[in-house]
Amino acid sequence: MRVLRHFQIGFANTGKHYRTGVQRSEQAPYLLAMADALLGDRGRLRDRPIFSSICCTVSPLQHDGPMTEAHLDLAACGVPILAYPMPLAGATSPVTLAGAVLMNNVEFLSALALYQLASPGAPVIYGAGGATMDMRTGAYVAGGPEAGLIGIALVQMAHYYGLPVNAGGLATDARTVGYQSGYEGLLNGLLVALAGADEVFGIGMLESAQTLSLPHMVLDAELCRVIRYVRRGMAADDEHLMADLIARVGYGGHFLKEKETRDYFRRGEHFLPQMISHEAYEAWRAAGKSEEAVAAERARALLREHPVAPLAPEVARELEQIMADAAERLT
Amino acid sequence: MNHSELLEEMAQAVIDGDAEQAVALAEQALREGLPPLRAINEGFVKGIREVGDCFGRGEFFLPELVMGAEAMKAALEILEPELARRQEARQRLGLAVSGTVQGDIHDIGKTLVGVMLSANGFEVIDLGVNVPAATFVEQVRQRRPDLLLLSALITTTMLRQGEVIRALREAGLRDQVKVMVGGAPTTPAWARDIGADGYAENAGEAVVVARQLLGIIE
Repeated sequence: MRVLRHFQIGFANTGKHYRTGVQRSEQAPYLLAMADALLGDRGRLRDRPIFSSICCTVSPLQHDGPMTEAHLDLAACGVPILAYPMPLAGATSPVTLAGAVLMNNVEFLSALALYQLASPGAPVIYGAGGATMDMRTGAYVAGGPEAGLIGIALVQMAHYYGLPVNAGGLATDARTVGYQSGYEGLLNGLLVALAGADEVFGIGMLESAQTLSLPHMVLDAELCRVIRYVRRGMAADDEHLMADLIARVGYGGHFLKEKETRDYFRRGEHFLPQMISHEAYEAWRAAGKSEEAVAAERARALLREHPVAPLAPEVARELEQIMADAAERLT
Repeated sequence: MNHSELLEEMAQAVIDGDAEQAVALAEQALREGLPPLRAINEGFVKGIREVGDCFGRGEFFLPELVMGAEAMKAALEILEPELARRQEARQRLGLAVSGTVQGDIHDIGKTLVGVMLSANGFEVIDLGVNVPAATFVEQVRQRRPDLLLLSALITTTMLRQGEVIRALREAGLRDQVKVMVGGAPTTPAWARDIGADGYAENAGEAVVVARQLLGIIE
């Protein structure tokens, strides 16, 4: 029921595409019915996939039976499937990063073959989840540099097949917001983004992708902005070299009064951080707030201020009815 | 090679994680009339203790730990028939039955816990993955283990840990076994909520908790 309730609440609170993860076939018809209710006469799910679903393989070289069956059902109705292997180098795949890449790739291809055989043409997203295990404790390590290197190779493989790819990148092993969460998220997020990842997984995720933190999500939104800024790169044509302007301003003086400065800054030539501080120590100290506290405040403000278009009353009622049916029939 | 050299080599084979060498030395012990219990306690067990200590100090890593345990296991398989023939038994700290709960096929966590417990003198029966509650109950009934270890890696399958505990209660077996739970989504609070006796964050801690639950003092 939890998957269904998440789905209902999700669509009541966002106008964006929603990604779920289904565990067994019995749940699929209710999700599909809710999607139909949400779409109403705005087209069929196949033409307008308002949700997609993630299905993990289980390394080494296994599919989870009930979960895969459920996703075969969803794929048959045109729901895009994100097939996500997560081999751990040295534990559930060879210890070498290349071995983990190979394992991730063949597990994905096996899943892809299943969906295509069952529903030719079914949309499938390549999942790049290879990572490592902490050889001291056995814990899953989401934020190590190995995950970034594995991710780069997998992004290249996905694009070699002409498929969109979701790469783990922003997920961190840090328990809370701080140095570790920032460095791990930026390191791997930037690496896979520069490799060309179409989606980067892990926004707001702490504790090896086990905990969703709203303050961390706000900070990750900043990471996404900076990653996007870096990925866009730097234009260096005549227009951007601005040799004429250099000649015009000449020796000494400054560029602040120049129209180009105002215009190009306005157009996003520089990155404008929203969450980090450039102020002097004394000013920062006087404000007296940790990064996490500032982010938490911002998260609360967003929750308070962000307008959500409500579902049409008849759609909301229909979803409620589907949930009631599910509660009766699903154990 | 005299017996004390042979015993030293046995320990070394486990430290090196060399299962072939461990088997060869176990066979040599049987040929040369070294009592199997002595081979175990003064040879192989010494090796696995050293492996465990090195792991605890951060000098060894999981591959060394698992290979050491595998070498130990391979040697025991050679020596155990002779032990049985002599009607002798290895001293063990306790019997543990372990498995990953139904609906979950993640193997590695509970396997590591099993390796650590075995290395520290427990006997571990591993039921594998996707184990129904009824099987756990049946195993507790038949084998009377001291510990039942329930593993789960997914937030949806961890619920099954509670089901197993309820099934034990319904079968009237709850008081006969200490139940430990673990796995990435589980927490000490979760263990308390479902009425488990113990929780461990990782395989090393599982040994400490198991000893505490059984009242074993070094």
